[in-house]
Amino acid sequence: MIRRIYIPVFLVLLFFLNQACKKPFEHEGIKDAPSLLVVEGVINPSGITNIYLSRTLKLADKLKANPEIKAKVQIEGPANAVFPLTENTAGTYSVASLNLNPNLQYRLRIKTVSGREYLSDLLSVKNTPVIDSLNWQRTAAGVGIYSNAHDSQNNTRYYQWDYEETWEIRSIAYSEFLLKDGAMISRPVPEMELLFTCWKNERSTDILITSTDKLSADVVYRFPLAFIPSRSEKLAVKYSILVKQYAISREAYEYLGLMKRNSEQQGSIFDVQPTELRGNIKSLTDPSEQVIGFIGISTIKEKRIFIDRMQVADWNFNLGCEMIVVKNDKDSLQVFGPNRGMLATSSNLGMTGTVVSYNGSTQNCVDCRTRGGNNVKPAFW
Amino acid sequence: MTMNLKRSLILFCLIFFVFISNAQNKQVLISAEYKNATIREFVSDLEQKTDYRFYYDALQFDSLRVTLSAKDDSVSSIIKKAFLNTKFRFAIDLKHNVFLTKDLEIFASLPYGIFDSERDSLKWKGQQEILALADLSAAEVQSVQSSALSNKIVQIGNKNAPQKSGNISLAGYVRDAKTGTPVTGAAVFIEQPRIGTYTDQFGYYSLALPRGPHVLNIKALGIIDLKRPIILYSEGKLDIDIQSQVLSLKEVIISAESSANVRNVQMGVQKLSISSIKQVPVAFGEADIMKVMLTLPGVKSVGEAGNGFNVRGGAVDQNLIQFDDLTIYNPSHFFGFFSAFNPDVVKDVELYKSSIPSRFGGRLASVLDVNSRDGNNKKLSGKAGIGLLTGRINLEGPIIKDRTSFIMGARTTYSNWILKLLPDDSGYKNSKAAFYDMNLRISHKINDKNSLYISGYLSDDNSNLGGDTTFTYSNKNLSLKWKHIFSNKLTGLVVGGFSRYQYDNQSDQNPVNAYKMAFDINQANFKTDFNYYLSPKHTIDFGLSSIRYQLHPGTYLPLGSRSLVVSNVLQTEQAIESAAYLGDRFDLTDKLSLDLGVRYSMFNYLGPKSVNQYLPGLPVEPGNSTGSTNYQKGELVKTYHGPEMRFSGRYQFTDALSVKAAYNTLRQYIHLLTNSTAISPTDIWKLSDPNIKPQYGDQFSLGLYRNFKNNTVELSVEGYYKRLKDYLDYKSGASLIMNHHIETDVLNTKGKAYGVEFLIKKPVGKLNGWIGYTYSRTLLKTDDPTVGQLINRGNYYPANFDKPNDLTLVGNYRFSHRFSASFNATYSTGRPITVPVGKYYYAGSLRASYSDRNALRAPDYFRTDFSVNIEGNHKIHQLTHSSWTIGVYNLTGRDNAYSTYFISQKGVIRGYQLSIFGNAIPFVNYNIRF
Repeated sequence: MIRRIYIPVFLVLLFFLNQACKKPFEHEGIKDAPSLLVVEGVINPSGITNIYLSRTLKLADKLKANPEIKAKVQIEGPANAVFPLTENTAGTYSVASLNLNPNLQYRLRIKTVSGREYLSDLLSVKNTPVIDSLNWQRTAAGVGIYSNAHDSQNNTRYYQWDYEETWEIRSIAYSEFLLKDGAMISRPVPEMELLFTCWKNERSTDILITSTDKLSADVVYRFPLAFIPSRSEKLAVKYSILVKQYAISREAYEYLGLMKRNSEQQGSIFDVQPTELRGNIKSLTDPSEQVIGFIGISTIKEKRIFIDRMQVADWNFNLGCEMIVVKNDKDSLQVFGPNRGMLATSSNLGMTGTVVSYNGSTQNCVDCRTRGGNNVKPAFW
Repeated sequence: MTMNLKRSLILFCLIFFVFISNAQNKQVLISAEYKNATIREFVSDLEQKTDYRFYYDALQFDSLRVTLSAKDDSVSSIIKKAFLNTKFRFAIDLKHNVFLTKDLEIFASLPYGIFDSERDSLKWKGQQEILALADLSAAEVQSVQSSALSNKIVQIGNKNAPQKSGNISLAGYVRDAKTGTPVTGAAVFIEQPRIGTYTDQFGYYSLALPRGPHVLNIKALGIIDLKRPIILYSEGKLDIDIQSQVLSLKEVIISAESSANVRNVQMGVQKLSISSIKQVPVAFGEADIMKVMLTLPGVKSVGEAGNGFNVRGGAVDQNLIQFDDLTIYNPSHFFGFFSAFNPDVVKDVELYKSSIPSRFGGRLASVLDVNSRDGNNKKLSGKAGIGLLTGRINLEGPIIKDRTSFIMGARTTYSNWILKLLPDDSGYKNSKAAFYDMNLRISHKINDKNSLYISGYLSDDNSNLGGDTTFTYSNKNLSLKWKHIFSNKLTGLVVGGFSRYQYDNQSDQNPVNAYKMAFDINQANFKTDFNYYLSPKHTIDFGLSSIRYQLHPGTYLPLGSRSLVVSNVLQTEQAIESAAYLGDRFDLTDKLSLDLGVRYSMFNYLGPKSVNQYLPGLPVEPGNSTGSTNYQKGELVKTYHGPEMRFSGRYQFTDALSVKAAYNTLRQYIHLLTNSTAISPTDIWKLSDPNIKPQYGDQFSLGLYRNFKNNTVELSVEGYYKRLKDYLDYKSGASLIMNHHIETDVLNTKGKAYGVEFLIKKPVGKLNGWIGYTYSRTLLKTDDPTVGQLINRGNYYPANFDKPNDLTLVGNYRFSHRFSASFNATYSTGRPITVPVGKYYYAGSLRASYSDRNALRAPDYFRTDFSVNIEGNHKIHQLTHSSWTIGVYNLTGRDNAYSTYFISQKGVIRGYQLSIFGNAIPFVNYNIRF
């Protein structure tokens, strides 16, 4: 009996577990909603400060961001101290170096080109402790990267991170030849290098925050920052991560937690309802206007680590490339022509020493730039 | 004098009444001629010419036209000719009373000669009507055979007792002849004058009847309708053993009594027997009380997962769920996929959604009263069932034959070990999904006047679905019940018990942050209920109840030696909730009945407690706190109290048509705090305190009830309007767990709910089931000026479970005694969802922005289920009986949206629709009875 029911039991259980299935849900959202101001950034009391201003988009919009341009942005301190920020790229307002007094409070004022005025709450300067260490650990699923920090004064309590990952990628082979005017010629060596080695980078896309206020000591132990799934391209050659750590206020922590819950932690059976967000920037023109974003003043601590392929044995990244062999005749060589998607790598000589055929592969296997790479070596590499 | 009758004597059927044929009458010969005569003309002519008196329902005979001529013929012969080849039947008794009926044959006299001597001294008033109503067509062939003997008339009381004016009380138990278990909710009544009652949960009934002969009718779930002739001389007892239907031909009866729909004074009461619950197909095939509740009009839930249900716009915590008189705080296993009640030990389930009897209180929306069975007190027997994910077993039998019996049940899931068999990369390798529940009930009859019941219940869940957090939760209940019969008119019940709900979750993945969080609520109950049968017109209920709560709102403790977690323990809460009630079921006239009840409830919040105080008139926020006041142990911190009205009335136009109206007010002193759409087992309960007011609700409802086809089809239409006050909602971004000032994160919310519910039920027959349609709305609003940020700017917004249109069909067709098929279909409007108003770029990703709660709706919900039940052979004397249930849940495989959500992944927003059961789910269950 047991044996006979075993199979259906197993099937139904698989069903059950996979039942909580999801499928894409298309929705244009509510259309007649107003476009809200979004303010993001950290005021660095002793370094470059960038504040990003943008506006919310309709859900169905194709645009990724809608920068708020030509606004007047300034940081105000006690005794009418004013530190204006200037717009460099659209929506990014910067000031090269501030020197704010850690014992005083400051605030951010924004006046948009349409004449609406916004003011943040008064902000205290938070001092960020150093990142004690960044660790990584390999499991069957991949490599996890963790940060450790502490504040012996027990003052920090709320932490935020962001990071930028950089990794080297390589083509499967040098592209030694190229088709020019119907004939194959040798590719110059510097150009071969450019096609062979690239670097890619990505910024963190998740809100990374934690709190130690339930702990007896202000200790962050192995906070999971990033995860590289097994066989990912990121560790095909060498990988680096630059982590920035910020001390934030309790209010900022709660605000970002809510934003994270709204945007990253949906889809479970017991979802918390997404809610409206109210940050610490208020509209002076219309107090009921919602402004998205939470601004703080915090020193920034950074740390970078590298992980080499050699440190993760049997990583087995596979680009899935196939080599083709193309006869050295004019018609066949057209496969290496423009817009055919193939590049030649090496040549094969016949008994007589002449080139009988060329080896080649698809563009993304041979030209690392087509994989989204940048062939400028980063300064820290 | 108690008549304890043997089983062979109980069976009683009118078919064995001796038909007094016309041969026994002295013939009167007459001549007559009729041409297209109506029944009235025909009868009045005969009444003129003879001393025969006719009794009939003119309406039934309006189609009859009599054309005949007779010379020197007998009355019976003339009628016989007149009724030749029609559906009309007649009967004549010794006193020349003629009873005309349609379809049904009646028997005009009780068995001849049995109590000849009494015949002169007692008037046989009303007897003919009783017999005319005899419903022989309803008697199954089998019942006819097995009811052969019991046409004996029972004499009750002392024949020579002095005649007193007024009524005489008669009381006793109705029990199952085979197992000795009490039959609850059985209607015990006489028709003329109409006096009746229902047996209580112990099978006890008490009636006050006029002296003289009566026919006592007993009708109940799953038993053969019984009529028992009695002669009542003086106060006495009559225990009635009844035969349950071995082949359970009518097991699908839904209402306790066929005309209860029309006759009950109470509104909005749904009683489901476990057998009707068992035939509704549910996912995984095991009978599930909670899921069947959801097929009733006015009962909704947010989706397939999640605990609890919503009744008429009430929140999940506004349902009082009682199992053997004790509160069950979490009626579900495994995050709501399974009901926590073992179907094999449950006797029946009663849901009160409109008129809540005054003996219940403490919750605003409904009472779900689940009763377990008494064990078989004749012989040891049991049942076992194997489903794909769960198995269960129960055992019952006598401890002292006919006096003490036990029933125990256990149920568990074996999905845990199957999860371990899953391959490593399935992602569920380390998952756990374990639960079990156990029941034990011991019933002991001390003597005729005293009975004792002990009931214990334990349920436990331990789950971890792939994550690093393990959730465990459990219910533990123990109750002791003593029933005492003071007299035939007064019975009393004393119940004491404890119930506890606890949960904890723990995570040890990060040794520094490893924690264990726990919550529990304990209550000690004491209550007394009394029933006093004052007169045939008045039945008085009264009683007292008291609950002592002790609630540990949260402890957060380090787990393991490396954990740096600081122990955080929220202060214990304690309170006493007491109530006294008085109710009168009052028959003003035959047609108009009232049920008037008043309940006075009081809630005392007790120390030791430190209570936060806030500036009056300002938002209750940490910034407006003015400190806290400390109260000593046992000191009274705050008292809330007030009366609750429970009024309902019924006006019965005809036997098959009535209107009812009800008005209820209720108070609730305990709240479930949740900020998720579906109620999770780790949501916390909170007692009212100086900063959190009790919830208050009232409901007005009006209904029309009509039975068709001899009470085999019931129609009801009920409308309601309900108001809620001080229902607790949460502020945007509220954290409700381990919160030392929870009052700052909740909002007092007003609600209104209204709707119309249509229900057509066919409780009996080969094809049976019900169709319900509900239109309802539930709207909430926060407009407290002392609250900072209002939800949806203080406007009304739909509650999470607001699904205006809801159509449900539950059907069962019995092909043969061994084979039946069940079908379900459910359609409802999709539940409200909160969708983004836009998107923005922040922290490296596009993110959705939100504004109003529940502004749009998920796609509509539609599901059909199908199952077949196959019984093994029906030989009574064999070691085991087995049955199979095979079916498919969600037959069409429609992936109904449980929720929709938008999530930022790798920098972009993706919208998803989550379905719990996105495919058709086949199931099979094997049950064995021994």
